[in-house]
Amino acid sequence: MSGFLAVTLLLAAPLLLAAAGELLLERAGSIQIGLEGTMLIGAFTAFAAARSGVGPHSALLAAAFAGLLAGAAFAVFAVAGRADPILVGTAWNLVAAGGTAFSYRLLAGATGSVLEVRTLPPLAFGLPAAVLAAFFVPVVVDVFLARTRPGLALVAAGENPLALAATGGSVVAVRTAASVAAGALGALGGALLVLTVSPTFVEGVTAGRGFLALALVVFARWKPLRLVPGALLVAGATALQYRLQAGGSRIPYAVFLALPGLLALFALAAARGRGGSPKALGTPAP
Amino acid sequence: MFPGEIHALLGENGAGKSTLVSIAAGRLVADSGEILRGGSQASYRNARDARHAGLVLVPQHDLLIGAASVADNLAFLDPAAPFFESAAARRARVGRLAQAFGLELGDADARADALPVGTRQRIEIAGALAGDPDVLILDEPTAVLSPDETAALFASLRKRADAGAAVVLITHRLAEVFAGADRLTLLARGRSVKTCRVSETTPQEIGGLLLTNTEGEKNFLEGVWGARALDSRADTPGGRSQTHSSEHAAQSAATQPLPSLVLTGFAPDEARAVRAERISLSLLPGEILVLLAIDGNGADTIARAIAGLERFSGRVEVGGVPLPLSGDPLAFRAAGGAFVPADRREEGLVAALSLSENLALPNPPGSVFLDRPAMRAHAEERLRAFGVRYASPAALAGSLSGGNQQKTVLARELAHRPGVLVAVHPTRGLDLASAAAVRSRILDACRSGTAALAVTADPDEAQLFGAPLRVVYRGRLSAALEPTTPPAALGRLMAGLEG
Repeated sequence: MSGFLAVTLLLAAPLLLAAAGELLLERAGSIQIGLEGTMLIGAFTAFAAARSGVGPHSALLAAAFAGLLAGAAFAVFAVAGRADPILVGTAWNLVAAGGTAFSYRLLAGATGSVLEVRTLPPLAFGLPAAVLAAFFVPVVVDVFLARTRPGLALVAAGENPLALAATGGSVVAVRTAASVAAGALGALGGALLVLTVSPTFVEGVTAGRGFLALALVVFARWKPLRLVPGALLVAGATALQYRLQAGGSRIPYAVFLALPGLLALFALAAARGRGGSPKALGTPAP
Repeated sequence: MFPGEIHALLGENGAGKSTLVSIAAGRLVADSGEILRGGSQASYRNARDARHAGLVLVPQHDLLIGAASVADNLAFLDPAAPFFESAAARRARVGRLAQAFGLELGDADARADALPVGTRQRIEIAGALAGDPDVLILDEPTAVLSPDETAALFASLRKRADAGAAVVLITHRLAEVFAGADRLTLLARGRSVKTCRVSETTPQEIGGLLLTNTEGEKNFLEGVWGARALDSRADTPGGRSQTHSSEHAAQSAATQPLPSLVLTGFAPDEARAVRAERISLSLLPGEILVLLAIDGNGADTIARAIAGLERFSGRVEVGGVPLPLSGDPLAFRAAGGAFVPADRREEGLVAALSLSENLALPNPPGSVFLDRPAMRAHAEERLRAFGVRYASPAALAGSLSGGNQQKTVLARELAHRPGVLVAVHPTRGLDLASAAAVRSRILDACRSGTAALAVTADPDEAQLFGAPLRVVYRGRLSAALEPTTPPAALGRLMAGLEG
């Protein structure tokens, strides 16, 4: 059973990182539905860095840096440019999926052989430090939002942007900073997939985890600490799915694959409505 | 502007008051001219610079984070708040500011959006005062306050002025200016018309200036003005409406008309939380009833429930037709009801549609395709009849000023000679001229047989309808009061101190 628990924690960490970043961005009033794409960019960057010969920790850092740039790029269009964030996010997913697949082929050639990379070394309980650290991220985000001055400015940008502008803040600056942070955290989540779960890159390696992270933010009612039980629930379902598949059941494996998604769907339906969502979510900066 | 003074800025809607203070606070850029402070140039590039230089503006729009607590909101508004702050330190700030400025700020842990509008206003003002500004500018802070709350606000502003700050106050209420300000400046169409000490002028003179600098409707307005502050007669543009309603009473005795609106054991569902009494009343054709209440006491909810926008229990009949308990605005309209909501931009009009489209709602002409020529002709006729100043019927409703928007709403609602008109804060935020015009349209409709229920939070405004008043306090209605009841007595009833 400890194996099941370790796998659950391992699978929950990327979701938590990506969801915590998205939560920050949404509390600031913007929304990036291209989180899946950001995770893919992180996963590919970590893979490419690791293949170039640097260690797994440097690969993780490289992914975080790519995420910063990705977050800044999103902010240029959706925050400063005031384009509809849903459209930008949709395009983002398509471009990231195509771009990483294309880059992977450039890197790997058309050999079809699996290229492995070195994974992060375990620190405790057989889990790497980055996975364990991921569970503290929601706590940090919570303290930031609740107790610090920039945290208040961020919440104001998402609830009442006019008030932030009236008190001398810049809604564009706050949302851009949140987007950069969300990009870094999303890319780190994607990188963890390559550097822990499966030590290689395949097209669409994120397998919908970005969308699950988006759903987690709603499930958590935009409260950082509530991301933890949500992520554990979805990760637990995924771990269970691996077990059931390995157990040689007669049920088609596609049913098991759908299990975490179905669970997220039911959890969202049970949580009902959009209560707790930031008032100015998705609206352009004044 | 001098240190230690409270300076009132007056003028009609669109005179440039808000624009002027926005430029001073660095939120807008001046086209020309310069601002001097302490003898040196002081044009701020943005609101942050202005705040750092000790100049704080409390704008008309809401400044609070609705989902955050009072303590968090004050930390947000306090420019001196540290980077990291414990919950205890934030709570302590609430008590400290409440004490320092004598403002009742409520429970530190309460969510801001659950608080009455008066408390929210005080939180914003406490936040502005927290940084000890040298110049404090308040844009219509008293529009939603009760008389007592207004007095308390002026007391805390006086404290700040005595400590050496200059306070600028934008308001439409002359009585406040003469009770609390030291000097005043009158703006009209972007120009300063008069600046003087309050002690050197009279409400009559300023009132006259306000009106002569307003385009159109002058003569008729002077009549209203005469009624408003100067005499305590309850006079209305059409004449004395006390006689007006008693005439109706005599008429009804003779011809026995059916009442237009009947409430029997009525209570909006939302009002159950405050254990409101059930309401029974009826209005005959042409009768007016004014409900006077501070926001949050359930008067708006009563009006909305009658109009079919809230669930209720009991019985509502409009023109003899009972309305469904679940609330059905279409049933209300079908029975001959018309509704003027409190928020004209959000609920009264569709800002992104043209005037002619707005006026054609809810049943535009044409079978499959809209009959545009008919819509246009109808719109021009209605807009002219209601004195709306507009560029073209194709102009967007959102482009009009507040007064013209409200006249447009009335032009639509009164188009089909409704049996019952329910109007919520019909003149809130309007200048004297627009407010008087809106009021006179409602009174005109009543003269031709519409029964009207008007909700307002302003005792002076309530009296100007010249009709019976009822004060609503925590969902309960007072007995019917004469329109001549002194505002002070009305204020006490509104605050729940009497009755």
